[in-house]
Amino acid sequence: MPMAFLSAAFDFATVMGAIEQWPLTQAMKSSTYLYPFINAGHILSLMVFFAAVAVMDLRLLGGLKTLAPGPTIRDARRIAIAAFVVIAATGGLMFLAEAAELSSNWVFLSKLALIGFALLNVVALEFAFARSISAAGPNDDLPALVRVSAALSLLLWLSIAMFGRFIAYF
Amino acid sequence: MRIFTKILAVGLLAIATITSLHAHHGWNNYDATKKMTIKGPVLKSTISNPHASLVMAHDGADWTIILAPVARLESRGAKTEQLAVGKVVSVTGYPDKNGAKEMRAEFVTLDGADIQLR
Repeated sequence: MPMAFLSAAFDFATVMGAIEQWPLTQAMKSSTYLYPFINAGHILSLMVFFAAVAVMDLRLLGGLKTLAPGPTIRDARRIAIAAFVVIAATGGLMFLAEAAELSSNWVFLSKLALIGFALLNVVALEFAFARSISAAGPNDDLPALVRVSAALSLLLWLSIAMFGRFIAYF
Repeated sequence: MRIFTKILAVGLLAIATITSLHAHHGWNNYDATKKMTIKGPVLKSTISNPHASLVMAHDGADWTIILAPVARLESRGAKTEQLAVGKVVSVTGYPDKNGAKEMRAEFVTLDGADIQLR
């Protein structure tokens, strides 16, 4: 019985049907201006996010050399996290309006996978190199692996933005 | 640097594969050389974001007609009542390139008035 309940709960059509009924889903679909404004909010928060990410990654790569990496990352990361929360919230709302379609859209699923990969990259960098980053001062170079991680971060987040835009076309 | 070239090549290949697998609603997924018009009663009307759609009968099949975002429909003067089930409308647009019974409408004719949707 519990197994039957579980399989029903995770049945694709059931889940999509439930999402379809949510008042928030209905509002995203039927309100004239909610969707376009949420869409704009997604892009605006994305710009703030990428600005913060670019400052962090450029410092790690060796640009913006006069900044101390530790405090720079600590400050920029706060902005990035706050912006990411808004991006995820607005993105989640837009997902509701097309939940079933997006769940089988390869571009959308690839975008989610890339986001997962980009977040893993942050966690890996933090675990492996937080100490060497905070120990480095202005004008110091960072280890090669840190620079690889920073380059990967820029590449991933730009790809994620591109995939996001491609959802509407492919 | 060669590893980056490789990553880029794999990425581009992946994008090419992905894009050929699934079509969404951009104009590029519809065949602009095969302009078509469907006229008849609306069978199903979904006035919804990110884009409204209709279902109409054409050549013995139910066709999905992709219209425009709700705000654009409103600003161009289309009223929800004019797109309601049972209303006779005419839609002109382009069929899906991969043969799906789906059309992206360039304009819809409602009560004699052409309303551009692009």
